[in-house]
Amino acid sequence: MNCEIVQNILEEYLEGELDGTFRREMESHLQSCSYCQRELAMTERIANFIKVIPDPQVPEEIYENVMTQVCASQKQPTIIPLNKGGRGLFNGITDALREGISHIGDRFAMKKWQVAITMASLLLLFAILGGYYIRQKATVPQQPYHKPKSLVNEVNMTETDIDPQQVAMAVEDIKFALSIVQIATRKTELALAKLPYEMGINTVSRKAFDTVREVDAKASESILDAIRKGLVILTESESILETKTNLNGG
Amino acid sequence: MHEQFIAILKQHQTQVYKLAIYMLNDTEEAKDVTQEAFLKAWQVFETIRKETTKAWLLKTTTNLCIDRLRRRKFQSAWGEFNNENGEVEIGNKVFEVIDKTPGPLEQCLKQETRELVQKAIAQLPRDYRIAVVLRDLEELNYEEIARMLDLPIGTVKSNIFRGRRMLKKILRPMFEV
Repeated sequence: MNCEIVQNILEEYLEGELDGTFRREMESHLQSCSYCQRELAMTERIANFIKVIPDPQVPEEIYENVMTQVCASQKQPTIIPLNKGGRGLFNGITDALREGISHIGDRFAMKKWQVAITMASLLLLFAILGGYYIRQKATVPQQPYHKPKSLVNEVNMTETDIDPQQVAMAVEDIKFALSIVQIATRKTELALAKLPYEMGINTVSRKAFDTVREVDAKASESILDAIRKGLVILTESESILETKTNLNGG
Repeated sequence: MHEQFIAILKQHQTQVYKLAIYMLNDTEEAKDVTQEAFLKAWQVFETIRKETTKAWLLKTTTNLCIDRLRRRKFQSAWGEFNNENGEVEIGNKVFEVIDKTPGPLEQCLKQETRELVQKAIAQLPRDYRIAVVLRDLEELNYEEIARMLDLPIGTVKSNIFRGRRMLKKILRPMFEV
């Protein structure tokens, strides 16, 4: 047996695929040939190297995308765990929405897209009413923002009512509310964008959805605007307090 | 049924994704194929026997990968390799890592190394690639591979050994320190 033959069957040798006689001939050659010994060592090293390669990291979106489509394809209640951080929660909400649409459709003999548009319209109505309510509650004047005293008066508060601690807490509360509304707005946008695609509805219905999304975005912006203005009032109240403290101190 | 499917998805997603990424050498396509394989599994989930789920998933994934590889008829694996990364450049990178790291080779296995092997496997002809990936990375035995690919065991073995010999030639520069 020569080097060329040996080197062409090293893989088979390592895997134990050679029969007795052939194997013995090969081993005999290997004992006397340092070059083939090195080749065998190299082959073994590469084979072992491939076996210990770490597994690739599986992208999380695979699980989420598969489960989203699986849930969409059946009418059982969704059981996606909601403790998987923001994305898990988001999937849970969209799935729940989809399930709801499905059940309502069954109950009232409506098509899925009809239910979805009805729900989207209701959502829009809530968003507008919410915006209106916040505006009324805050009674925010449109102009001018640069006069802190008049703003404070307009929300029926006197300077003596302004407690520094309460103002600071209110600022934090409103900032928190703002962030929640921003997240909710984004998720609503995403849900509305995703829903028609997942439901596989036709072009006309999709266009209707796009219109709803557009109007919904405007309504959401109104809510955000109202909250931002509330924040302005509080920030200005803080500056009144600061001025007052400085004057008293002076 | 839903819980069972989630368990299957969690249990096998790494194997399925690994098979897809080594076969296709493309992260996006591997993701698509993995999703497609599991969605196909969901469609026929009631009819798959529990003990054959893994084989079913790997067979489906292999077939999906073969379909995609067929569509790449204008791109040869050699062409991809030479266009993306030169062999010498990759070899040099790995040399440095090995030189600086004493002890077992496993210690210096990182993402970069895995991608390097992935690219090397992508250079193998399709039949050899499938056989090597199923045997050496998915660790299936000859019989399982033969059943899965509907080939005689002899052909499977021959493809594995030829594939390994080619792979050795490609990876050799990394080991010749």
